[in-house]
Amino acid sequence: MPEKLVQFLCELAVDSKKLAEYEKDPDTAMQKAGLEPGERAALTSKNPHKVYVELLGDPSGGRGPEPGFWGFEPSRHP
Amino acid sequence: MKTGNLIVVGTGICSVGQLTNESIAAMRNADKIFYGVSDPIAESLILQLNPSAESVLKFYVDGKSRLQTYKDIVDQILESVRGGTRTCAVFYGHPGVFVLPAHRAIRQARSEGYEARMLPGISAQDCLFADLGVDPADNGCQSYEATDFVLHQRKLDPSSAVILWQISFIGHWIFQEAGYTNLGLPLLLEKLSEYYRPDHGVFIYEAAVFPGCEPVIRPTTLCQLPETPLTSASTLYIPPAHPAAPDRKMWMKLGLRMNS
Repeated sequence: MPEKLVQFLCELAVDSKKLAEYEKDPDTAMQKAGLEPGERAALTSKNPHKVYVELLGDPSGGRGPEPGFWGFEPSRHP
Repeated sequence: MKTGNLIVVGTGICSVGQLTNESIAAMRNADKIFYGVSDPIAESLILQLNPSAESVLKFYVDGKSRLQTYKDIVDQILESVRGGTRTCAVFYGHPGVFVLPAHRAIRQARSEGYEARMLPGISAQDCLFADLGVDPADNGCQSYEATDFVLHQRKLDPSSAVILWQISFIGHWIFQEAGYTNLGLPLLLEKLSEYYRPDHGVFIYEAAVFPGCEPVIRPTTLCQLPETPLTSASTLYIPPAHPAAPDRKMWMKLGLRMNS
């Protein structure tokens, strides 16, 4: 995965000050983080498919089925 | 109390912005983390917060019963707790909403004398309320997993909001890497036709996973649902079909006057 993009998003997740800076001025925050033009375009596109492509390098979008952690349990229901 | 313990946390649906401070602290403080998340940022973040972290997605095998997978997850978590470690289990969303292994691991740990607790997170339902502007106080809200709804004689109240989860794999309890055929959707629509007109307006909803991204909000009607694109993250939101009928006797007993 692209190191700078991953690091940038991970920092936003744990640092509310950085998240606020990004939300106020995304272009400056992304430039400061050294993101590539394609990465910046994906993040500002509002399109999750494009973000997945940048993160996983998969032109199909790269997102498999949700693993899910709940399943109907037939054995409990005769 | 025995020395090992368990804390279960959630990353929220969009980990960038929805991860709580107490969940971050719990991950940092753990001796061992087991995680089940669906986006690469959440995974990288967990590994940065605590390099001991280990994914439970290895238990998802094509053709394997999801319930067996959940049992394997619980067994691995409990093995760590029994080993005397401060164990943290991390799931996406709210760790107690549609996360069967989280509840089972906590019950099992407590039954064996270990301290175990869950911290709340932001669930897809929380995101839906925000994104669709739904306040459950307005009309009430019924929320069911779609397979559970189809297979039971549950009663819907069409004057309340209704949310049906996991509508794209009704009746599937085997994990399928390639996705699911939605053979159960016609059965769901058959049951809903007892309560709603075919042209009743509904929404397909998927919460946003990345910051700044838009959620999927796809207006459609019940009769158009089979032609509407669905993913494994799709949720069906059904707005109320009509206002709730007042219970006049109760108004009178409370000494309240109804507006005409």
